[in-house]
Amino acid sequence: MMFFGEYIMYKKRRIIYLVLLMICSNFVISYAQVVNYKMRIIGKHNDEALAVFINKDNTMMATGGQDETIKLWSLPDGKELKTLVGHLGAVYNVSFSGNDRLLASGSEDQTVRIWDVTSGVEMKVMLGHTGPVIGVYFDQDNDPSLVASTSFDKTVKLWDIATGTEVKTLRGHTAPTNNVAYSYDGKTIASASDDSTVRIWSTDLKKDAPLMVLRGHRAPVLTVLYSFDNNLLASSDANGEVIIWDANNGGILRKFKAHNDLVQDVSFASDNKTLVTGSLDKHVKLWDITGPDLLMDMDIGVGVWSVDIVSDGNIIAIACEDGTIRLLSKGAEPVKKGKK
Amino acid sequence: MKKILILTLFCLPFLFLDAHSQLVQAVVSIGGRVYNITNNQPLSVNIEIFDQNGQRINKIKSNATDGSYFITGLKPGSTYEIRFSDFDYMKYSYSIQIPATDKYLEYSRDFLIIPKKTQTKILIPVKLFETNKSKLKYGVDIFLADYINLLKLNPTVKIKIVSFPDDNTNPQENLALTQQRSSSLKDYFVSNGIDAQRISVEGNESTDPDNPPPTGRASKGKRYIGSTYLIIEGF
Repeated sequence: MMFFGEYIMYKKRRIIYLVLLMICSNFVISYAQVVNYKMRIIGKHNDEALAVFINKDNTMMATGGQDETIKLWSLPDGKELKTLVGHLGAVYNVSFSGNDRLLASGSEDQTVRIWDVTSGVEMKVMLGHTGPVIGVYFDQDNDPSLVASTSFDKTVKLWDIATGTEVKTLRGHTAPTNNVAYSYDGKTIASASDDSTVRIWSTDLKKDAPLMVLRGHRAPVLTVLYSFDNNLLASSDANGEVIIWDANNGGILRKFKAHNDLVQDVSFASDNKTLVTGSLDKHVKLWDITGPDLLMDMDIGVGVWSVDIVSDGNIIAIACEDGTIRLLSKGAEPVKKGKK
Repeated sequence: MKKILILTLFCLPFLFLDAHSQLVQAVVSIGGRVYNITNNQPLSVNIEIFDQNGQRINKIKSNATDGSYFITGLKPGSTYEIRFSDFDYMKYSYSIQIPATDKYLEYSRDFLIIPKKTQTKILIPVKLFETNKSKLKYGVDIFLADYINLLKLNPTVKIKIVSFPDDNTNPQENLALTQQRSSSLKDYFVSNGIDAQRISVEGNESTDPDNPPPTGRASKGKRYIGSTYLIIEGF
C-alpha cells in the first residue's frame, strides 16, 4: 500500500518523465526539419561578407566583402584558394563567366573589374558608373564577351570585356539599381531597383527601351535571377517578399512572404523549381516554388547577405553579416516538407 | 563607241571595289549624358571632338532636358579626345581609343562636369586611405588621374584639399591625421606636375557632417573611413 506522499512523488516523477519525453520529441521534430543540411563555417572575410557566387561546374565559389577583397574557395571541401586584392571599396557582387575562366566584380569604388580565375590576376578595371556598383552578372555564353552591371547611379551598363569599354547604358529606373541578371540564353537581362520594379532589357545593343517593366513589389527590389531554363524570374524585396514571374510575359506566378526582414539574395537549383533565399532575419530557407512549399528553414544565427546553391541542391553557400562564409551540406535524412 | 564600252568595262570593277570598301568601312559612335557633379542635374554644354592630330572634327551641344549627347562618324583604330570647354564649367577632356573593327560599334559614357564657381565642393568617391592611416592606398592612381588632368586643363584654378577623420574619439589626433591625409594628396598632385602654390590643405577634428559614420544597426560591423573633398578656392 502506497502512502499519500509516496503517491504524489510517483505522480510527480511520471509528470517529469512525460515532460522530458515531450521536450525530446519536440527536439527530434525540429531537428528533422533542419537535419538535411548541416552547417559549417569554412572561413571569414575581415568584415561583412556581401556576395557569394558558385561557378557553373560547381567546383569553386567566389565571395566578396566589405574588406575590399574577393576570395576564391574550392567546392565541395570549402578550402580557401586565393584572395584577390585591388578594389578600393566594398565588393558588393561577384559573378563567374559562363566558361568559369573569368570573374567579374562590382564595388563601392565605382568600378567593375575582371579577374582571371586561374591566376587571380586583375585583367580589366572598368570605370564609367558615377556611383557604387551594386550588381554584376557575366554573360553566361561559353565564349563570354559582355558583363552587365547596376549602380546607385540608376543605370544598367553593358561592358565589352575585350576592350574594357562601356557599350551600352540602359536608362529607365528612377532610383538606384540593385542587382542584375543575365538570362542563360543571353537574349535578355533583368535589373532590380529601389523604384520597386524589375525591368527586362534586350541585350541587342541597338535597343534602348526596356522590353518589360514588372510591377508587383511594394518595396525596393533587391535582387532578380533567371531560372536555368529562362522561363522564370525570381525577385526579392526589402519587405521579405519573393515574386516568381513568368519570364516570357512578365506575369506574376507566385508571390509570398519568405522572410521577416529584407531578402538580399535568391538562387535557383538546376531543377528550376528549388529556390534558396537568405535574409537579414538570420534565416536561410529552401522553397519548392511550385507550391510554394517550404522545404527547409535554418536559423543561421547571423544576418545573411548572399546565398547560392549548387546545381543538384546538395550544398548551399552563404555570405554572412559577421564576415563568415558558411556551407550548408545536405545530410542523409529525408526532407520534411511543410506547406507554407 | 567600242572604246567607250571598253573603258566602262575597265572602270566597273574599280567602281564596285570602291563601293564595297565604303560598305565595310565601319562607323563608331559614342553617346551618353552630361551631368553637373554637384547636383547630378543634366547639363547643356559644348562638346568638341578632336582626332589624334589635334584637329577638331566635330562640335555638338548636349541636350538641356536630359544632358544627352551623341557623336558619330568615329573611325575604327583611331584615338579621339572629347573636350568640354564651356565658359561656366571647368575644362575637361576624355580620351577614347576606338579598336580596329569592321562592325558598327556604339560606346557609352556619362560625364560629370564641375561648375566654375568658388566653394564648389567635389567629393572624391573612393576611399583614398586605410582606417587611421594617412598614406595613399595602393591603386588610387586610376581614380586620381582624372583630377590631375582636370588641374592641368584648368591651370589657374586653386583648390583646397579637405579631409575628415574616421571617428570622433580624439579631436587632436584626428586633426593631425587629417592634415597629414590632405598633405599626402597634395604631395601626390605636386609629384604629378601640379604647382604646389595652387593647393592648400585642411584637416578636421570631427567626422564629416555631410557623410557621417553609420549609426545603430547600419553601423554594425561597418568600416568607416572619413571623406576627402576638393574645394574650388579661386580661378
